[in-house]
Amino acid sequence: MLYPLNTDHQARKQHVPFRKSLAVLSVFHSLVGIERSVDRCKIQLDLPACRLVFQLHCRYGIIKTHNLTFQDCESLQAMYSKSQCPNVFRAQAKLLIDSVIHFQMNQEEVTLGVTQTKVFLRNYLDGEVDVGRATLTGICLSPQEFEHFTAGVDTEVTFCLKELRGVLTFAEASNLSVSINFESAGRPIIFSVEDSILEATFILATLADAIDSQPRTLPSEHNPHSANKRSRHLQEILDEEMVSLDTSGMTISAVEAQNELPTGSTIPAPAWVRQSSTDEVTEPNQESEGAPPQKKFRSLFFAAMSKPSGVLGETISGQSVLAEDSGGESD
Amino acid sequence: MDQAGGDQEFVFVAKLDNVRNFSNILRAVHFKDQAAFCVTANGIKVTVEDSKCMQANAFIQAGIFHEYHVKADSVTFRINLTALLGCLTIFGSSSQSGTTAMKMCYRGDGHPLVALLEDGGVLTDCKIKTQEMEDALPFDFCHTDVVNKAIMKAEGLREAFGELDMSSDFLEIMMSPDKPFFRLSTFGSSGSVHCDYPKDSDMMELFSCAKVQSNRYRVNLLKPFTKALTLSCKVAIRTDSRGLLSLQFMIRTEDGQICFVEFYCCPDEE
Repeated sequence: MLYPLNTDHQARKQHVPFRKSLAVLSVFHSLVGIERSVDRCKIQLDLPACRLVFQLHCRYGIIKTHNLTFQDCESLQAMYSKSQCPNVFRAQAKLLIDSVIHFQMNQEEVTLGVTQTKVFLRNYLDGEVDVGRATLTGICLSPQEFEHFTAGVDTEVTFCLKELRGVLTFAEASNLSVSINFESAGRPIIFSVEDSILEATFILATLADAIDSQPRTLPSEHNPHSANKRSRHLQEILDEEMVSLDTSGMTISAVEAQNELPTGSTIPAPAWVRQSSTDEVTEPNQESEGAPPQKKFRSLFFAAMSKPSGVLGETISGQSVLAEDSGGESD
Repeated sequence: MDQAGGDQEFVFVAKLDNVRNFSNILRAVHFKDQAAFCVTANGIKVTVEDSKCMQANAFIQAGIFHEYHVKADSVTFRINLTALLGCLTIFGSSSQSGTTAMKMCYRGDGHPLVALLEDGGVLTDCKIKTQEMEDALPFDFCHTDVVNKAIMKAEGLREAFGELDMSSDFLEIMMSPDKPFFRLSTFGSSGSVHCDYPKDSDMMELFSCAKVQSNRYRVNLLKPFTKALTLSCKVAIRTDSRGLLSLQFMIRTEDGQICFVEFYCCPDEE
């Protein structure tokens, strides 16, 4: 498709950062049409006229010329070093696309975490989201799924999902593997694809979280941040699922929870979030012993759903936290 | 299809086995509700106008109908084209939905246009009110005054319309005896787009250009063309000395009959 560029052109030697992505996309809007009819494409920067010129030489001698205006812009100079990132994975874009496809389209950010034994992805909910109403989705990948896996330090980073989707779609279209290098929260995550004719590096900023910025291996007992508690809880569920489902490389856990708190409640966090810190205490009280961890979670969910009708499962009443929230109603 | 009353009362009766041959051509000029029908022994001319600046004429030959009778020299009426198309496609408009047969009758001034439609034994009887004809815009596009003319395969022009920035206000058509010969341009917020067709292109069946001419036309007025363009196989583009644009689209019906749709559009005076 691409022909050698006319490298004599004077303008080529100049570095001109400019912004014109949308209009450029409109030039190549129909890839099928381009493949069918365009023989040659000439791209020229006409600096005196302030135009970026795309000339498509098509079948039947038809020439389509797009003279696009552009505007100067400051380009960000990302400070990053791929080689210094302790965590490096490489995987087929397909694997990662299959992982992110489970997130809702309006999901803004995802958290990518790594330990020595697994990689996990889950949706990130910022502080404003009512965690009781939100859908939580988490995916665990085992190191065997990756072409390359080096987990130097256990950490998790949160970044934009939209950009990740874009990177993955691009990589999959070219059938490439995606390399992921990252360090810790607040430090950029680097996605790169490479083949014989192209090399692309995408640097995404990650969320700097005071708590997440330190690499950690174990959830701490006292955590003031409710979102972290929640995420940790989800992580525990995912951990346990990973153990129980070690035959399949990928596990998916999506949990929807209704906001089950009475309006007058003094406890802001939904019960199941708080429950995470009392895991060990509540488990023996459950009616169904030996139930897998996610079932316990689910029973919480169903109890929350059935609560308005006044029928509270014994499973729930046995759990100290929920009893506290709903004591007045159930008994 | 059964006869709905004696045919002798009607000044105009037409029958057609596949209504799509008729409705597709009407659709090519369906950019306004009101259309004027002029029925003669040769066929039906359907005229639709917009903003006193553009006019579309669809010529539907008597030949595409299986039965066609006109009792007067010419029968004229105005009708709501949206309503008529709604009736004609009442059994669906896609080619998968089987063929719908049609009989169309008109008694004369003050009477509704009656359309009987039959599809798989199901009959629909539609009556659409008609109005008296008003005078059509006199564009006076005279064949002897044609300055430049090009006949192109529609496929080539369709591609250009896909490429041009239809969000811009104007489309410029430039014809010249020398390079670039035939150029379509749009000027939008993100820059300009040109599509050039050399006169010896396989897409160009005829190119006769007497002098350089460049005129701008409002994209809003040209947009209805695209409907006709998608249906057509050939397009004749002509301009007269005033810059008035005439586009003639040759449309082949499913039966292989040829019909024409013609658009006139005034240039934008700056």
